Amino acid sequence: MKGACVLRILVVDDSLFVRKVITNHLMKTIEGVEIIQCDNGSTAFETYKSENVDFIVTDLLMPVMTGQEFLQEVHGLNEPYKCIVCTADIQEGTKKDLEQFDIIQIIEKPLTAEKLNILVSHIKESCNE
Amino acid sequence: MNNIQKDVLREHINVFTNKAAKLLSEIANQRVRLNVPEISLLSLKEESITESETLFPYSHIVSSSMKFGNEFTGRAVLLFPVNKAKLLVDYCMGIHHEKDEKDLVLAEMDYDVIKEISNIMLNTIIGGFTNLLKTTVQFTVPQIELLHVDKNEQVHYLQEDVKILLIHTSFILEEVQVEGLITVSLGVSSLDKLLEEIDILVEEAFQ
Repeated sequence: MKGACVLRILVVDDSLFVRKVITNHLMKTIEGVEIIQCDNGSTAFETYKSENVDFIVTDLLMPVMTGQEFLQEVHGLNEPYKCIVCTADIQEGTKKDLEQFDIIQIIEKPLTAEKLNILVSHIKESCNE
Repeated sequence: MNNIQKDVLREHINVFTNKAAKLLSEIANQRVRLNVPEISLLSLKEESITESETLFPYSHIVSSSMKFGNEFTGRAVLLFPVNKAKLLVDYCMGIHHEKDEKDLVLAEMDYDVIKEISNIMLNTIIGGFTNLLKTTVQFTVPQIELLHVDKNEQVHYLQEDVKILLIHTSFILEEVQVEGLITVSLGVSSLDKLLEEIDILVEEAFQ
């Protein structure tokens, strides 16, 4: 990982607990990372537009605006983005729906240390690109 | 139950119900969409009757219940309105018809399908709890009942020594909205165990 790389990561999940778990892990394992937290897709999209976000980590099932709707909006901007989805929705139909977006990986909840490390390695790779 | 305990519990229940929904989608060969699960804790002494009015907005329902016990004891119930239950069964059996849903009547064989659906779904959800608590429970086979209940009768779920963990989840199949209600009632000591485990998770996350 490049020392000078500062990543702004948008973590979107309606659960404070999940946001905290992800944030803690990223802060511990990636140097110079900045985390922005949102609890639904709507505020996440507003944040995404106004902040310089390098990486999105989002849940799908959320109140107000779902992760799919949020990604639809982000995708509609026609700008490159990097995203990992963390979800409990493990239906094939959901995975198929997500194919239209530029999703690096879908990580199935519950989030374990191993899964969080996968998330970290993708983010670090992205930083090195 | 404080807000953070509720947040953690909702997140875990979200995982459990999504696993159950995946299995249901495979049985029904249909995409199942879930709403964010609502959870609340009821007891006879607290919210009682006022709260119980919102248990389920239907009076003619199919109830499938399973008791579970060991170190973690309680009863899990899956409720559907009768006409929607018949639609769900038909989708699971690959039957598609144009009948008005109010004309649909459950046949004897349909109860076996409901029993199997509830067995799979409730096992998945309770199994999630027991994995979280690192314990194992024994289940009874699902008991199916057709009920006519009004708001006062719904209180029969509430007993002095039992807390009701109410999980309200809507299952939306691709072509028809089937709303279901899952309730999990826990003995006081089981609820305490669950909250203790959650407190450990919270402590780890917030340290």
